[in-house]
Amino acid sequence: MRRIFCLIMLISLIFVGGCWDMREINEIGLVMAVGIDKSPTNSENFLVTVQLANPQEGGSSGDGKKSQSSVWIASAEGKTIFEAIRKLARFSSNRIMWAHNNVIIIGESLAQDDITSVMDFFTHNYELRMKTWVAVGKGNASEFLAASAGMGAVPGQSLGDVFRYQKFTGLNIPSNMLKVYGDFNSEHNNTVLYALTFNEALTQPGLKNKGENTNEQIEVSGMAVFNKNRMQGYLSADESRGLVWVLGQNSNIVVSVPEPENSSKFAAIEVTGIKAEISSVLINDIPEFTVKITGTGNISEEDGFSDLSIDQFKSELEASIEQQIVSEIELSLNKVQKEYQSDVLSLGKVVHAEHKNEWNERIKYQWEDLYSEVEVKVEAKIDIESSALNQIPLRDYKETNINDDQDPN
Amino acid sequence: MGINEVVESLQKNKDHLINIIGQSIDTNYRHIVVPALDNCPALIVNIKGLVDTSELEQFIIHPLMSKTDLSDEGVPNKFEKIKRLMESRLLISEFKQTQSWDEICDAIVSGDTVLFFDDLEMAFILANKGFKIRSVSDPTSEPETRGPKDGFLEDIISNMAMIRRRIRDHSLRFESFKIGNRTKTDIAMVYIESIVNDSLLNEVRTRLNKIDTDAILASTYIEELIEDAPFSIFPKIEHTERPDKASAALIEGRIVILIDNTPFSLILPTVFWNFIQTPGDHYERYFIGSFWRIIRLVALFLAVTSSSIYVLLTSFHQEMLPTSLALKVASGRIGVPFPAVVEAFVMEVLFEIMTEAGLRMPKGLGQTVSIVGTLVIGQGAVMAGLVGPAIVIAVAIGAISSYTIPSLSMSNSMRLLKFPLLFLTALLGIFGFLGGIIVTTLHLISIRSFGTPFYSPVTPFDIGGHKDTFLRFPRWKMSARPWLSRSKDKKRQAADLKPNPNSQ
Amino acid sequence: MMTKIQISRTQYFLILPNLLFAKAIGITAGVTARKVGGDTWTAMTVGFVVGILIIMIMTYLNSKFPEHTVIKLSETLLGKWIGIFIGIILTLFFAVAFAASANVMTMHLKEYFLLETPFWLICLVYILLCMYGVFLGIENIIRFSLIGFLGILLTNISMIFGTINDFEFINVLPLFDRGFAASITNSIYIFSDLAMAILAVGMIYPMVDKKEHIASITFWAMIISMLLILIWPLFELGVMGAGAMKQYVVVCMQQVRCAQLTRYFPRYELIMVSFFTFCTFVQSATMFYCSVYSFKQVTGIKKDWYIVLPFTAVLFLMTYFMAHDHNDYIRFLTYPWAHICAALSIGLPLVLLAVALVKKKAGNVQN
Repeated sequence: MRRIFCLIMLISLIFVGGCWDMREINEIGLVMAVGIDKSPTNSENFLVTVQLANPQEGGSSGDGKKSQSSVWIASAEGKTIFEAIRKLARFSSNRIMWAHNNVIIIGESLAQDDITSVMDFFTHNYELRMKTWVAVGKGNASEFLAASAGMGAVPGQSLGDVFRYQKFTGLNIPSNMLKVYGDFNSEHNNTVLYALTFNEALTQPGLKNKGENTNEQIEVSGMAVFNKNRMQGYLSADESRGLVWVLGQNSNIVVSVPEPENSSKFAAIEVTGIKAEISSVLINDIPEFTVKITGTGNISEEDGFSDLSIDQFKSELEASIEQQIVSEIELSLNKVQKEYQSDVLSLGKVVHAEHKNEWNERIKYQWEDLYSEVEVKVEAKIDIESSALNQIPLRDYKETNINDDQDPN
Repeated sequence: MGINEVVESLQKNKDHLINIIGQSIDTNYRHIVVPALDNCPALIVNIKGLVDTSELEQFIIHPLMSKTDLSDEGVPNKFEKIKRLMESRLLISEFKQTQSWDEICDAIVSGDTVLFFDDLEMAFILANKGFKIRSVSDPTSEPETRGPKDGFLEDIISNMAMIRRRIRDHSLRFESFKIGNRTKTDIAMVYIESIVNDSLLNEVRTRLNKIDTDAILASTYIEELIEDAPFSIFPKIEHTERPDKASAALIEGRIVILIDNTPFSLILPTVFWNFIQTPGDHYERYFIGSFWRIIRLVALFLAVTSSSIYVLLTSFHQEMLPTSLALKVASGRIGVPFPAVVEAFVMEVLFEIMTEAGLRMPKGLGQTVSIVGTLVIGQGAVMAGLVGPAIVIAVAIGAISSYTIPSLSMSNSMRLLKFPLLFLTALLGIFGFLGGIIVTTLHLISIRSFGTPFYSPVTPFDIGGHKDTFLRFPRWKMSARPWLSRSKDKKRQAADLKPNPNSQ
Repeated sequence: MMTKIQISRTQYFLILPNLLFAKAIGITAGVTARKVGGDTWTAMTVGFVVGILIIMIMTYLNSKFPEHTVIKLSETLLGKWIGIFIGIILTLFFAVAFAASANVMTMHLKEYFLLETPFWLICLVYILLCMYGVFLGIENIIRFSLIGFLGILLTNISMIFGTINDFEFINVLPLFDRGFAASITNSIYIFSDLAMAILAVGMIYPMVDKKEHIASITFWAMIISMLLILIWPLFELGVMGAGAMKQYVVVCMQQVRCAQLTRYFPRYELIMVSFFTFCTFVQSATMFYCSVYSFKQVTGIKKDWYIVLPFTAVLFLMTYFMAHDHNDYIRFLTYPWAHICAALSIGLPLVLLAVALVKKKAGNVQN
């Protein structure tokens, strides 16, 4: 009996040391957004800016007055990102914690140079989520962190929400760390990231930001294309549309096409269920690709009158949309393939999957050069299934020569 | 001690008796003369508070003192004549003869009357008990909305009667024991002979016989002396105040132990899942019964883990909270001086103090103290900045969940378990939490309650037993007796009883 | 004397997935990915097919000698000294297997949850937990395997729900990227898990109460384990791609980091590790127990305490030094541990089978 007692006493000694991993929730500073730049003073160093959430005192009673700003922003420099982050502790009263980070913004100068450090740091350590949004800011990342976005109180969180709803614009494809890192590490693809600018027209009264430009809000405009670890350039919103057709599976894209009989007025069709099939054929040992886009459409807005029957109306619109899709994709492909020479659409992966032996032996090594030369044929097939609440296209009843009884619908 | 058995001299008997049980204002030594036996002197001994005095006077003393002659025919000796007198004149419902002083003294202190005759080495014990018993009332510790409202009393005979009224099976047996050297409490082991497992019966019998103690004052005394795994904090024997629950257990093939002077009876063997079942699950329809069982299971888990989860999420793994919740909790804790662990401990201990105070206070003060308790603990502590609001919710959820568990002994064990788990979580975060849960589960799995593994029918897995564990299957599905009692007669009802409009 | 421990067939069925799951999805997937890239799951499938064959051979051998563990079996077939030698080898094997399995858990915890807690403390607490399990007896550990199995199912289901949106089928193609031969040679890594199951079956078989249909139970248990385990490299490949898979020490945690169950559980590693701990515990405790048990069979010592306590101390040291440097641990598993396991688990049943058949042919063995 005594022996057991001694054993228990001995074992309890190890607990005398203390609780090692305990951190109180009000002592940690939750990072909402982080920006990485090249340091303006020393181009070898990184400048890391963080936006920490500042929990409001008296938040429990519900009517706490917001006398302080809801975020606290700080920056520090270092030779590596980790060193810079640790230097933040020089003036931060809270221990910095990365687990709730929503957004990583990469400054333009750093993106044009080398983003390997960012890719590695944010996946190397366990605290960071893989679903964090990554974006390139047109300018300095630190300016973006000080600005506001959307309607939320905490700008970082709000910006994350803005990214979440981008699928409704149909103008960009989601770039979260999972996808970006996967592409970065793969032997075929290259990355595209969101690109951010400022929009002065939007105002957010009452929220104090830095300095004079108090009412600037962040806007997502286009995408940034990378080749391996270096940014090649930007795609404007129109140019990224093409990519969305191929890569944006969950998108809900609105296409505005001219109406069949009235080309100065437009009709808006919402296209959902977009599937892109890429197939490749080897012709003279060089792959040739066919991209087939299918989707279902839904007429949401008609800006002009029409006296066609609904079937005719639909088939005319389908033809216009398909044409527009093909031209948009070709526009993007042109930019990405010829100008930036970056394989964003994972065409290399398709060759590997379908012709694995040729890829492994030969094409893999030549792909970088081959890519800008290969031919890509684009086909589209859209099936308009409904016209929202309407059964017939909008008619001008004040015109006298329409006879409803002859209307086949 | 002088004489071992009853002797002929009445005076010697009386002196011996006074020596043993003493003389106080409630012991009654009544000398009478029996005319029918040629004015033979006799002595009536009883204890006033325990006997029914009017019965004594009408049915014992009056017939004995009647002057009618008793015929002598065919009576060889005095003993036989006295027996004939008792058999033909005495109106009392039962009597027996004895020579042993132990039996005589036991009878007197139990509330019977003892009759001595001069010149006879025999004494007669007359059944005459008339002490006050509480009338049948609601079982307060286990209320049910749709069940019978009678509860066991403190008298074992009435309790046996309540069970007999429900189970009219001829093979219902009540084996009696007298346990406790100084209390000599009546214990009855109740079982249905044709169902119960014989080796279980023998085991219980052996264990009851092995008890050698001074007093049995409550059912816990017996429970602690016969249970398996005495160091475990979990109860392994159920107790109940409801006769319908005891009868249901008997029908399942289990054993009930009734104890005199306490309305709580013991049911064994018991598995872990019995502690979250109530008779009410069977009195409502099966959907409702199953739903409530699942709620209770969730509550069981929450009762043990709610404050540990709070500490886990706010002190160690803040990444698991959704961001807005994390910010809210953080803002609630601004200015709180103590770490979350200390908050949790303090709130838990305060809550236990309040519970205990609620039990002990006189009824009149109940309202005031509960208001003070709520205000002090809930609002005041939060506003004074001693604790954050989130911990109050966590502790409240845990405490209220622990009261959903029907069995008070299990609920208390669970509340006790909270503290080591909190300590382990504070030390090692998720690893402490999981380690504590694994150790507890292993411990529960390894206990046996009278031969039945404590965690069956979950492990060892028995699919049939699940009809009455987490869910309650409809009555027409329960055709076999539960595995836990390993009974001799497995079949409980006919197989195809599902009601059907076409069935005849 | 070993008391007659009874295990029901359901429990026997449930313990096999538990013995394989934990280490296979955590570490082995990463080790294999570094060798064959995208063909991880095909290599593991090939390994499983061979493993199922071997385990059926082991079951067949056991069924001929129903009351003998594999050690007693070797004694009967090969002679006393070789039997003792095999017993000692098995004791060492189970001990190292325990250390490897315990380190899966300690790795998980140290890397992702409890960074500043000293490593030796995590090892110590885990070993004490397993010691408690062994002390309570194999019967209780096996009863616990039901809960472990539920944990496995929940982990798998929640992982699938969390990552199905990000699964891209094209990442899985092409099959057999490096060729079929590469899959076969690299299937050796899964043997570090299969060996645990094969040899543990040899030790536990005598404890099963009713021995009819054991062969089909074993077969189906292995098939189910295979399906449950293979889902992980498949999904990891589909969601992360082969390049990302190669980077990580504990691949399953990386996969879980990518999962997102609705907006409100953006990080669900904690939930996953909670479900996962139960089956890891069963695996480690069983290995510990088998090690103690083989030692008991070799030396004939009756009392548990004399063996368990020294073993705890030795195993603690072994666990600590094996994974003190995380990279050394993975290197050890890659080479030579996988090869030792494959040799032992394939070699021993085949040798025993050959000897049994020869002896039967000669007609002078009494079963």
